[in-house]
Amino acid sequence: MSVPVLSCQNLYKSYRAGYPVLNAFRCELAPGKIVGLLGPNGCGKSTLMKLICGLLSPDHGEILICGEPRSEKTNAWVSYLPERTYFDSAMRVCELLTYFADFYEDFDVAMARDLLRDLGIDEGAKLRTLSKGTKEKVQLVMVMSRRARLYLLDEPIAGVDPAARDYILRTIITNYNKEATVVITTHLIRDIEPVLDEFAFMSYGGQILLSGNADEVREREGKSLDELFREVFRYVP
Amino acid sequence: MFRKLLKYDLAYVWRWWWIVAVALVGATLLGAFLLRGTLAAAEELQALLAIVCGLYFVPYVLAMGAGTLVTTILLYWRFYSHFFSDQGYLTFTLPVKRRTLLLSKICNELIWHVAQGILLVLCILLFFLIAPPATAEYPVINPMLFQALGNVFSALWEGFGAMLLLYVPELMLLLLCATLFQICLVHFCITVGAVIAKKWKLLAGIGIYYGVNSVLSLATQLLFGLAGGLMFPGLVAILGKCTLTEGKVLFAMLFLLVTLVFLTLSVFFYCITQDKLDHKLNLA
Repeated sequence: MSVPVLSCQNLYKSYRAGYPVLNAFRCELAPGKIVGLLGPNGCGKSTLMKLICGLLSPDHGEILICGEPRSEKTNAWVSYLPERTYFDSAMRVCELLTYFADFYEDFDVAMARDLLRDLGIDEGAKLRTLSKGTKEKVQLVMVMSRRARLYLLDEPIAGVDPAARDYILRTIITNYNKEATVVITTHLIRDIEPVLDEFAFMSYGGQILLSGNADEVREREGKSLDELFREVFRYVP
Repeated sequence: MFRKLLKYDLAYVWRWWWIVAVALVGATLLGAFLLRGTLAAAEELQALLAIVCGLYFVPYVLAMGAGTLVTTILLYWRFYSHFFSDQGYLTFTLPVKRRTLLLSKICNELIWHVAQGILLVLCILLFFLIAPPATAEYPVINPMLFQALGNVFSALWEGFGAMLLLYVPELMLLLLCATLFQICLVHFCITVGAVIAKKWKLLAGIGIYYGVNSVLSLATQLLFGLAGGLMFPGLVAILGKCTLTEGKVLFAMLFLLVTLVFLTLSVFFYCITQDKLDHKLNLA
C-alpha cells in the first residue's frame, strides 16, 4: 500500500479564539489524483493549503507529506500556487526561471521555456510590465514546471478569461507529474469539473460534507458536481 | 542554499545601491573641485565662489545622510517584503530552513552597512585629497591629508603606544557588533509587528522599534546612573592607584565589555525573531 502523499490528522486552526477555521480536520490523499477541494468562501480551503505549505502554523494537529512531518524538506516536494502574485515585480521572467532552477532541483527549465513561448511571453520582460492575467499564467507555468509530488493550486482560474481558463486547465493536466497529486480549490466548479478525479465538498470548520470519485458520484447522483454543490450548500449560510 | 539566498539578496540591493554610490562620489568630486577652485581663485572671485561653496555643501552633507538613509530603507524593505508581504508566499515555501533565510538577511544587511560606511569614508578621503589647492611642490594632488593623518597617528601612538594595535581592531569589532545589534533589533520589531498586526504591519513594527529603543535608553540611563553613583568613588580610588599601562588595559576591557553587551542583545533579539518565524508565522 503506497504512502499517502498528504495526511492531515486533527488539524485545528483559528484566527480568533473560539472561531476555528479548521476544527479536527482530517484527510488522506493517495498519489496520482487530481482532487477538487470545493466549498464556500471562508470555509478554510486556502487556510488548509497554507498550513500544508508552512505559511501558517496549526494550533493543533499533524501534517504529513509523503509520510514526513511538514518541514523545509517537504517544501521540496510541494509545488504551491497561491491565489495572489508572489513574485518580486522588479524581476524579469528569465531571472525568475533562474531563481526557480536555483532553489528547486525538480524544476524543468526547458518545459517552463516551452510553456512561456506557447503563451507568447517574452523572457526578457519585467514582471511589473505584465498584465494581471499574464502574471498569473507565468506563476502557473513556474509551479507546473516542477516535478513535485504534491501540487496545491489555490483558485488557479479565478480572475482570468474563459480562453485562458481552458489553457490553464490543459496545462495542469498535460504537464503535472502523473505520479503526483494535484489539489485544486475553486468556485468555478463547472470549469474544473472535467479534469477532476476526486472531489471533496468542504464546509465551515473544515467539515467534509461529501467526497469521493467524481465520475462515480456523478453517475450515482445523476448530476454534475456543480449541481450537487449548489444542492449541498443551498442551506449553508 | 545560504549562498544562493545571499546572492539574490545582494543583487537586490546592488540594483539601487550603485546609483547611490555613484551619486555620492560624483557629488564629492564636484564639491572637492569647487572648493579647490574657490581656494585657488583670484581674490575678487573668492567671495562669490565661497557663497556658492557654502550653498553647495549644505545639500551635499544632507545628501550623504540621505544616501545612508536610502541604503537602510532598501535593506529593511527587502527584509519586510521578502518575509511579510505577498513575496513571503514564495520565500517560506522554498526548501530552505528559516534559520538560513534569516541569516542570509543578516549577512546581507551587515555587508551593505559596512559598504555604506566604507563609501562615506572614501568620499571624505576623496574630498580632502582633491580639495586642497595645488602647490608648486605638489602640482596635482596635495598630500596634506596624508600628512595630517600621519600626525594624528603619531600623536595617538605617543599616547597609547602598542595598545593602539589592540584598540583599533576592538573599535572595528565594537562598530560591527553595534551594527549587528541594530539589524537584529529592527528584524525583531518588524517580525513582531507583522505577527501581531493584521493590517499596518510595518507601522506596528516602527511603533515597536520606538518603544523598545525608549525602554533600552531608559534602562541604560538607569544602569549607568545607579552603577555610576554606587561605583564612582570606588572607580576613582582604583584608577588613582592604577599605572598608565593598567589604565590602558582597563580601557581595552571596557571596549570588550560594551562589545559583549551588543553581541548578547543581538543574540537575544535574533532568537526571538527566529522563534516567531518558526512558530508564529501568519501569512494569512
